[in-house]
Amino acid sequence: MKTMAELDPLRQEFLEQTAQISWRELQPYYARGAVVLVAPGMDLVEIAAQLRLDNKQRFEEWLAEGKVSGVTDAVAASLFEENPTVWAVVVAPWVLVQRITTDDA
Amino acid sequence: MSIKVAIVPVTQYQQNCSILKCESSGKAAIVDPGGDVARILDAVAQMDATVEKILLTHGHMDHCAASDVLRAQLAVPIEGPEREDAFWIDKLPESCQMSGFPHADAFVPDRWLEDGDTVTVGEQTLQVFHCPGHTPGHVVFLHEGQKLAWVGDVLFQGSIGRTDFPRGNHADLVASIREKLFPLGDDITFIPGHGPTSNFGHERKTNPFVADENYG
Repeated sequence: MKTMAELDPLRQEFLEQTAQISWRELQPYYARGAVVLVAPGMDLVEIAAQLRLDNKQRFEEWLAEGKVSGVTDAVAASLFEENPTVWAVVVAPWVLVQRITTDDA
Repeated sequence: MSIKVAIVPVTQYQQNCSILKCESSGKAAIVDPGGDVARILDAVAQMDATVEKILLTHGHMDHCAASDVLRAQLAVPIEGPEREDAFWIDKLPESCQMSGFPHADAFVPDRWLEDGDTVTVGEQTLQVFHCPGHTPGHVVFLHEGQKLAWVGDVLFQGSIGRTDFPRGNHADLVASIREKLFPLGDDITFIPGHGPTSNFGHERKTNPFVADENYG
């Protein structure tokens, strides 16, 4: 991972705004259809930056590869049951969410 | 005299249940009681209102799961949504269990609504617009005098409703918003199912999903 000083202002902004939150606190955003799941191992800040830059082609690739996805009812039910703490960053109107892995700890 | 409105966010989805009170008669409607019955009734008491009906925009659990309990407790009818949402209401027990909501039984509204209908609350009249897309039987209520609409999950500040549900349809949803709601006027304030209020004019300018600039 790059240090803060190595990031451009856009990515610095998203890095500063990325925080941990429990899934159940995000449920109002899920109900609005605003949550986008990012696969573990992906660079959440880079995905936020590409979303802000409206990089449609890159996003379509990530969607096709399953690296970003919406939240299905089944996944939401599982997340509700488990209520994990996740990484989240807002790229209005979306909230990008990524499960925390042991590598993040 | 016109209407007074209180918004009570309910359920873990923070759904905007509204209490709509006719100020001249003191009669009220509860719009979209998805849960948290005690909080809703507390808001009704604080408004010194007499509930005469329950209005539903659509059949999703966070909007209607407490309807049948309130109907029995208050002895009032349920009006709405449009009949195409019956399958959602029939699935309430399953949906609630899957999403960690308190159990709710399926029910049948006392009155299904159709496009062009009106509903009354005390001496006030609301117009009914059938706005499919998020769900096939979604309706929107408009109080013309107050320029206030209850749009459920059709439109949000800066976003629109999900369409990845059974019988959801993105094209229908956009058409509902642009062809039925926006022509009502830029100065119509709307209460969405989730999040802050806004007005149609603001969404026409800024909402990335339905802004004028994206539709020529």
